[in-house]
Amino acid sequence: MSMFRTLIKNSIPQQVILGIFALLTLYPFFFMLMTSFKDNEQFYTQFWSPTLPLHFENYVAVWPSVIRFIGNSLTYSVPTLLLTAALSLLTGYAFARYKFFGREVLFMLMLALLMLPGVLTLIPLFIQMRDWKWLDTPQGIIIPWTAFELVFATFIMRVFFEKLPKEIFEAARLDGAGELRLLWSIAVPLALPGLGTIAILNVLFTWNDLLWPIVTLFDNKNFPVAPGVLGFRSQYRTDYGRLFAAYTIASIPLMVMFVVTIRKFIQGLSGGLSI
Amino acid sequence: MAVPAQSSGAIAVTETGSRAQIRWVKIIPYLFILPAFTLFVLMRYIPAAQAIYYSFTEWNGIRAAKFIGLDNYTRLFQDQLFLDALINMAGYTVLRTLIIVFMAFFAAELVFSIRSSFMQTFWKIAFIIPLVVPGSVVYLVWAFVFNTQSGILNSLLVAVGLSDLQQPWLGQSSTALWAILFIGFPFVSSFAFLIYTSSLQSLPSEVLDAARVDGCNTLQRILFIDVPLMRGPIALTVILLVLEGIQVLTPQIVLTGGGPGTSTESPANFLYRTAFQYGKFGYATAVGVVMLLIGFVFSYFSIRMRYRGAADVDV
Repeated sequence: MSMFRTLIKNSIPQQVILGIFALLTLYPFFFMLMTSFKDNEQFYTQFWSPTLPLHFENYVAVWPSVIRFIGNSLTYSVPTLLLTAALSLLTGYAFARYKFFGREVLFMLMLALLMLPGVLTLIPLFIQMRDWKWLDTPQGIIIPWTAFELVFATFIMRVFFEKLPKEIFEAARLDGAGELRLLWSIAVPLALPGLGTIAILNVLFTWNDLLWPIVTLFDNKNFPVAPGVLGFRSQYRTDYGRLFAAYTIASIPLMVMFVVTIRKFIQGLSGGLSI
Repeated sequence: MAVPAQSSGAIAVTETGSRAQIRWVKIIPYLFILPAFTLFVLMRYIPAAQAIYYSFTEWNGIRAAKFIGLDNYTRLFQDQLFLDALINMAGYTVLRTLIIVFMAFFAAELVFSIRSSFMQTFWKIAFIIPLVVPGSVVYLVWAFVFNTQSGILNSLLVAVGLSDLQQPWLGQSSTALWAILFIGFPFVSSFAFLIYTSSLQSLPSEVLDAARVDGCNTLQRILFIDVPLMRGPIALTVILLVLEGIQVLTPQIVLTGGGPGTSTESPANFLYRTAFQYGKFGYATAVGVVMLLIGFVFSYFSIRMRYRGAADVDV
């Protein structure tokens, strides 16, 4: 009731416009969800409206092929995430908490990598993977992805560690904690919120990357989700219900992650991003 | 006598200990950054340097590269397909950046003007949800919107009695690039929206209050206070969107393959096909270098513009 009152009391015109935007934005996805429960007859006779009965068998039919791509995605994305988190923590911590010769130059050199378009290094990196016999292997995906994502992640971790009060670290140092101890028992626990932001950006990137897996994986069976779903168009060409059921399942893992982390994500962005 | 001696001994011990510790501390940061920089060197710097070198060679990826000077570049700027790709990319990037920045900023101001913070969060979440749908699924769903036989757009035209206007939207040169540009309509759900909403909320409230006291209306406040104070976030999103536009490849891979004809060809798709369909690796890397230069020049000038006469920083 009080929620309803705040709704009508405040800012009606703005909310109407936002509501129209939201409807238009979400409609294609609503259509996908609605159609995923239809058989072909329902699709052709009642194109615009939801229909009963719901055909859950569409989901059952496409489940094995989608779950394969989701499993593949996890085998590439999870190691990439762990590696990126560990290395960005270590590197960001060093840049934020130590003064050392060449620190700012090295940092700028690293940030300059943000300017390099992925397609520029596509060919030399592909040749390098071929020469190392890393084509068509998980490490051939994981290590280049990590190198790619690590730049921005390190940037975030440095900013994060610089915001923490120095006194915590100095007090521990006076108590005789060694450098590794300082890292493990003080920096790592404090870094968890920063690592949350990194995790979301990382998974969004690895879940969406299309080009590198297409170029380096030879067998479609090993594809992660992004290139994997492309094959469904020919596989379920004549069956829109199954096609959209497959797309819906492919969207679920990120949705789950999103629901779990949304609070942290919005918090992590508070204060804005700027240059 | 004994007491000072003991204490000076104790001091001496700590001093040698701390000197050793200082030496150790000097090496430690380098050890910490070593793994990351090893990756950067192997996977980013060396390939980038190689790309620049290979762009001056004729090379099929197998036999030794043959140095041919600027030949790739002169040929590239006489290659009609590449020139078409550049023009498509420029149009796509400029229009998309302008539309997204405008719409995201407009929606962010709407959200910002709502008094209830619960509803603010609600609208934010409503526009973040589509961002976590996998990119290729988004394009595939939009492929269905534009589908000729039973797509949403053509069905809508039939439903409102405009069946004469039905088009094979992605299948003809005259509309294909426009259809790609239309993906994501109404262009609110984007990273720009997230950045703007969170930046608006961190604007100094004294300034906004002062403006209200001085009788500033909403439009005046947005134009003369919010926009100047938001130069940083706006510049950031413009740069990100332009760099994204320069590298546009997903719609080509998922939807059109660059066709029909050359109507949706992009430099990144041109690079990809030149390398992996025709095996011309030297020629393809030259495209990558051109893209790097365009992005670099653009970013340089936008960052300069962002700081020229800026009101929000002390420069």
